[in-house]
Amino acid sequence: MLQSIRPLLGRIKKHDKTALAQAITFAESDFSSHKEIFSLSIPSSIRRIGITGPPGVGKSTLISHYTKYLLKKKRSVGILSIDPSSAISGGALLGDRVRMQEISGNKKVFIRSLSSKGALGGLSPATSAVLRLYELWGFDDILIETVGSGQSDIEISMLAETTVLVMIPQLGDEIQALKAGIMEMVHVIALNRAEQMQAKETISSLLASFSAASDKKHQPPIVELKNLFAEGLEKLDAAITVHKKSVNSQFSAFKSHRIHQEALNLAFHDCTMILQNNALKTSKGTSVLALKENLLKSLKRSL
Amino acid sequence: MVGTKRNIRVLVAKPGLDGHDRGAKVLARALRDAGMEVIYTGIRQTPESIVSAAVEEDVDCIALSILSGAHLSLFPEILKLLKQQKTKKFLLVAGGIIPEGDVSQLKKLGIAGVFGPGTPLQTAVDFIKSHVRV
Repeated sequence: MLQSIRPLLGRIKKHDKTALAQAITFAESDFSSHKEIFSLSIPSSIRRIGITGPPGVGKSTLISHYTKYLLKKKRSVGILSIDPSSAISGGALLGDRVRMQEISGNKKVFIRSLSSKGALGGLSPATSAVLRLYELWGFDDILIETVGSGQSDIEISMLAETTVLVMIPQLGDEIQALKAGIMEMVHVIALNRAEQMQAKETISSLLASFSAASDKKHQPPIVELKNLFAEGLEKLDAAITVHKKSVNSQFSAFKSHRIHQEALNLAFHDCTMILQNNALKTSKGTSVLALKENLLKSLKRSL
Repeated sequence: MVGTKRNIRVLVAKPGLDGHDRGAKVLARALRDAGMEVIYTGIRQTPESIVSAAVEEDVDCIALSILSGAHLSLFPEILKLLKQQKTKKFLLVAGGIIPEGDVSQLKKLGIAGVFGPGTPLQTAVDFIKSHVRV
């Protein structure tokens, strides 16, 4: 086992998969490696694409098919797939590769599965560090797949410049689309299984909710993916490129926003760790507010 | 559970042409419940795809499940490819329908543990836990 991440970084630039794999393990389990990782740059040329949506809508399968499409365009692809960890054992079953068999092993593709390690929000505590390592490699496209997510899992939209929400027909009516949360953070909506009869209804309720918004600028394009991804990938790619161009026109703003978010994530993680450790030590009591005060005091002391 | 704890990572892989993976799934679930991060890649994996998944996922252990009887042709191929990687040593274990007469040959190849039908799940869990150095 290596003692430091440093020797790996040079090898990652030379596209050594073993080095990238071991560096990711460092990023996940040894936060002292973050000093080196977060001094790496955030290049504007890379497309960072977040793929989010409820469980079972086809996020992993979309990634597999979209990656095949990108490979045909001679692009290299880094994939980061996050699956939930068990709140009981801390273990995880990471099964996204099952859907990605056709692209696994390709020289221009790297796939890593991460456990959410108890974090909420759809990502894992080390996601932003791993993203930096992918950027160091210099993939043309980086696809980040969130855990099957709910309405409020918006963390992905802080890290990836383009967030794609994958949906299938009949997930909910117009009221669902009107609610705050992920719906207002997405840049592209990919409607999978759009060949189904009910897809028209879904699209019209989405459009109706957009037209009710006061900010008419935020109307993410809806891309229809049909017949097991045989149709629609080209339109999806075009929509992502259009959005990427708009981000790049003000890239420094995106960058400072992301750095801010990365810092917040790390600070949040540290505080959570301290609180959880201290909670075990804090004597039991019956008053919620008194216990809360004790925990906050212990947090202040630990900091 | 938010943390930096290093969990044991295991790749559960099915080489060859088996169509059934109930056993692999049951094992994957048991390892998950023992606190490990289990990467499952599905049925009909080639030696190449197994090795590339093990490298990319930086696993500690590769658990091979095979029912077809092709273990003596597929496992050596996997081990050959693993040796070509300039990566760390993986703990290798195997399970499924493997005749007892073949076990010593597999162990010579470098498969540390072979678990046949009827092995209690806890035996496999304990073996991996005690042989992986994290």
